Amino acid sequence: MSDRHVVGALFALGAWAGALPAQTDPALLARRDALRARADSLTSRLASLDAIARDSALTVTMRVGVFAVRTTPALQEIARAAFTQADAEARRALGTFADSLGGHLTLTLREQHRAWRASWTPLVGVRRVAEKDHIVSVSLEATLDGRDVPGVLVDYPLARGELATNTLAVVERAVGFNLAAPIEPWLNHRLPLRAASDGWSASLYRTLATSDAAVVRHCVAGDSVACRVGFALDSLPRDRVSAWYDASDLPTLARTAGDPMQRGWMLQAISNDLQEACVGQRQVEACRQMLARLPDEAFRIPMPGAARESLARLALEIGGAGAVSRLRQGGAPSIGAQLAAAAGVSTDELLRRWMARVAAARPASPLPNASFVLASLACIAVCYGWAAKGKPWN
Amino acid sequence: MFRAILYTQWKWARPVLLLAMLVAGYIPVDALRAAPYKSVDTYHIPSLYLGITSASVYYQLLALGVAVVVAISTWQADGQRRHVYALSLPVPRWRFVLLRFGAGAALLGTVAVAVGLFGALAAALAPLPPMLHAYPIGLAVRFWLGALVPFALIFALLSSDPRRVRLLVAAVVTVIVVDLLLASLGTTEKPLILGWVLDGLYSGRGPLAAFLSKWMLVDV
Repeated sequence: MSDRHVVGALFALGAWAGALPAQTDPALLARRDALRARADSLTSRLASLDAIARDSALTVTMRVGVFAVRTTPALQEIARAAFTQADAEARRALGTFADSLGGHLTLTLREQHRAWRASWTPLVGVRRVAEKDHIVSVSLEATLDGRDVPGVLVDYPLARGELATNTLAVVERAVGFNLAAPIEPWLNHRLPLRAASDGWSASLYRTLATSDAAVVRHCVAGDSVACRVGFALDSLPRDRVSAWYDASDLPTLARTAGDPMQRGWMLQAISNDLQEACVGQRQVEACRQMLARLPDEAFRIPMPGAARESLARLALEIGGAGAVSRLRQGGAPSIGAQLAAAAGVSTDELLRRWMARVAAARPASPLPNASFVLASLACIAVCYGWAAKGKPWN
Repeated sequence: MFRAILYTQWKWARPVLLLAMLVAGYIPVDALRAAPYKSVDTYHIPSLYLGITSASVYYQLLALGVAVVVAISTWQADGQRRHVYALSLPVPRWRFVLLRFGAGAALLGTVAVAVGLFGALAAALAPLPPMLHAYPIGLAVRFWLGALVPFALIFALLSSDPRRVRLLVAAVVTVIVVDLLLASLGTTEKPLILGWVLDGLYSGRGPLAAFLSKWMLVDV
């Protein structure tokens, strides 16, 4: 049969099918609707059935310190060890509040399986090769009074310390969820409990000293008033641009401030000449006119999240056992007052200690350190030894 | 004798060394003049920091380039004359190599000094904001040590017994091929030995660690 015959046959079939009458039998229609309703009811139960299937492996339920834990038999031992460590660290950081967290936080440690692995070949690159089902990672999920808290995914095999650290990260989010209104978004919905490393502090110093906002740079330079304004500890300034930025910051700010929609409105409202004068020629007055077109919300608190986190961490450290409970009480007129209440010292004193800590974290001179010098010299010595024994005339 | 060897090596590498010194003078000028505003007589600090960070890469490339050229020029003349001059000298081989190495290191030192001097001069002329400080000496030391490592590696390779070099290259190639084969046959998930070598070279304690950190003329 040629292609022409096939096309002709299909055309005839289509013409006949189009002429079929629509079904109007009431019994058939009722049956169709009933089946449709049953299918819809199954769809609505799909999520819960799926959850039951996923949870079927979680046969171990135990209590480790403040945590109610659900996990699989394979993960039971490591979970107990890691959560015991995390519990001790959480108690140290949370103080008396840890006990009140007890009945509310449920942790689920779930195996994530995979039945393939990546295989690398020079020509094809990475490809999938089937293999025996095995655990590749473990997800740590949490609920606080039934509300989901963002969890983490940890590589398998697990290390106790790593799992404990990740557990603390989840606890930080759980505790940060229910803070009083002004400070919860200020802390990005996370209460910092883990101590910062020296490297992190040095990196924070560098970030602050080279910040986009003049107020942050002045704060690191030792201006405590600038710190108050930069952290927005008392309130948000009425004119945020003038309060937070100086003239040299404005061209960059005019290029970056606001979300895409706000920027779109601003660019529609101004002329190309004005934009060129600010961004291209860096004329401060033109930048001011551009920025005046943006709403206040386009200018967020200039002190980076890491700095706010470190200030809150310091307040909790100074405040000791009851600090978290005091922080969560709320009712303070400002963020500064709330942190001061947690720390048990005045806002000025808290800021003074924070500034001292940040100043102490200033990176040392960039002269190469001892290990770098030794590694270089060792390499040079080995190369010299190799060269001295060489006989290039051979 | 060291002076004579230093002088001859200086003569062989002079054009490149002079060019490197010029580049060493241009890098800080370029990095520091890019950031000031026309209408405001101050730096925009984040832009300045970004410029200095980019300059860090240029310093590393300069160090690498100078090290390669100085190492090659050190042995080029000896190689062309089949090492007759070196063999005719009344000094043991180890001492001759040490003299050659020392002269090369000293020549790299001159570029490092130029890096430090030009960096200090540029930083002194630029209106640096109070939060930022110039570290020309730290940069010069880092530059010198950073340049010495690739210089030593190439120096050793060029002054070795060619058979030994061929053996070394063959061994390295064999190991890499076997490693790639094992990975492609599925015995290992990825090339392991290659990964270890690269990790070792570029880890914080490896010989090439210098090229992983930033070589900042101006920092906080």
